[in-house]
Amino acid sequence: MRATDTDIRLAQRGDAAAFERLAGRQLTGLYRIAGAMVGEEDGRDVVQETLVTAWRELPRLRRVDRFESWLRSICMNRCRNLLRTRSRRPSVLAGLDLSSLPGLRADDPMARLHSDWATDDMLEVLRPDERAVFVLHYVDDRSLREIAGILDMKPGTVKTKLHAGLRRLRDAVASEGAA
Amino acid sequence: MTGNRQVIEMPPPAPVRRHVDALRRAEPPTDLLDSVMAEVERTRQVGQLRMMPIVVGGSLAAVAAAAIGIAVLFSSPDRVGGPDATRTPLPSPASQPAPIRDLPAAGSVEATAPIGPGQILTTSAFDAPWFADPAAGTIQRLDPGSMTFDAPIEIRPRGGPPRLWLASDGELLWAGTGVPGRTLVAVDPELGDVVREVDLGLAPFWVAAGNGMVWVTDRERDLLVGIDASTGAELHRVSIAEPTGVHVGETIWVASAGDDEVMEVDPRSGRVLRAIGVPADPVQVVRSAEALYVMGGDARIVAIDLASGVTREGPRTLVALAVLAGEPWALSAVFDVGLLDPASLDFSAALKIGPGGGEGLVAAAGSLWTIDRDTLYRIRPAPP
Repeated sequence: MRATDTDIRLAQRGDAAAFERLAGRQLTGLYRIAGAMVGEEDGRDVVQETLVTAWRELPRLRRVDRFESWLRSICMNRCRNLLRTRSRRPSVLAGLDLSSLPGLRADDPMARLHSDWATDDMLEVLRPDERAVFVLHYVDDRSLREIAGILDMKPGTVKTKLHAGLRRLRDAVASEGAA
Repeated sequence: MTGNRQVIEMPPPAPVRRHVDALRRAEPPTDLLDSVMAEVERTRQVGQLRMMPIVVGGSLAAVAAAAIGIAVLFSSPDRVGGPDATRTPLPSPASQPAPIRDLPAAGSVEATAPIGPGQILTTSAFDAPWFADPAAGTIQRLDPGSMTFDAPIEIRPRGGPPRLWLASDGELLWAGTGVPGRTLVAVDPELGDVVREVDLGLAPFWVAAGNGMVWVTDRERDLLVGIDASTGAELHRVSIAEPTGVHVGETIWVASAGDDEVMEVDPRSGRVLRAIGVPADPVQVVRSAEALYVMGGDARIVAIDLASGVTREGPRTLVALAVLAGEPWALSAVFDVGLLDPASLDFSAALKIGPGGGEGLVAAAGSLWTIDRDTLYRIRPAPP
């Protein structure tokens, strides 16, 4: 039994020190994928929510050898949900002069959030699932088979989404270059 | 960007690659772990407050439910303690573990030796501890007399699966390689070389050997497979949900992490003789003179009285078991080695090895052997 397995089992029994060691080992990896999915600010919140959820749900984890994948599943589900929520918001606000809306000023948090969406995020052209596959593959170095397990997709679907995402990125880069 | 990534026909365009490289270098805020643990602590305190009245009432209910479960155990001749027993919560341990400082010394550290970062203590064979280095694909015997390692034996290419388990049948040492086409290899310890390869199309989780047979569990494929050690011929293929540890004796005992049971298998017919419910995710099965001990996934130990089928749970957090001269010994999660008292399932004598991080425990050459990150410890038990 390896040290990580031991810590998982101790944490499953409520040992917070063991969980802190586990969380410390996973923190950087989770922060990188969460940041790549939803940005630095929200990424921090997602990582915190992921690890607190993991603490709560850890006693139900049966396969300790899948701990890393399990954590990433929690993290990516939160990120995808957040991205889907965001993608619904602009469709309501798009094309509107925010300052003209009653009660909504240009310095309003909602307006600021709207403008932040368009900041330097090269992956924003990707759909949430494509982005999740891309991030796990290129930022977290996961194989397509591992990604299928983490995102609960068929391996063929993962490959399709990765190719679709890459095509979308190439098109976006090409059109920006043309402009 | 490196790693286990598969080849993709279209790499990301250059500007995206630069963006990804920046993402791969991001570091979490220094206070993030503290924030997480503060929230965990708050959750824990709330959980403890909620649990308090339930635990008192729940333990009585659990004892009653376990009694019902034990009655169910005997309702079927073939599957003692089947699915009903598995779902029955076991009683919580009645006592707290005794402080190590209050126990008599179980022995002393007789010798130590440095070990490499990839070396894992796996088994006792030919009266010596054996190590595996899964990354290097090698195994090594430690000479108990000189406390030095023999030359490594290469049994598979470098960089194979992370698990490499060993077992001996008295003549050969068997290793579950996990390499396609070579499920098992047999090593002649005298020659120091591979003398047989067996292809079962499996990814071995555990390998155990004895009485002329080798038994392999494949957790992914839900299989326990028995082969003839002299011919390599497959004799039995038994379907078991997520099988993990195996003990070979007159009968075979195998842990099922899928069904939370230990199962007794007839080595001649391959038939499951009985199944006994145990706590979640059992990983190791060890038989002593008096009982069957099962290490659960929550690092607790249970002892099963094989005559009555009654299961008892110990109070201490343990990570490995070994039997030396018919007596059960265990390694605790905080790096104590102790002799298990069959009645209390707690240590009756113990020895603190280090502050933490011990991994693996085997019995060989009249001693117990355990390791931490960089050191092998030989423990000489105190005279009874």
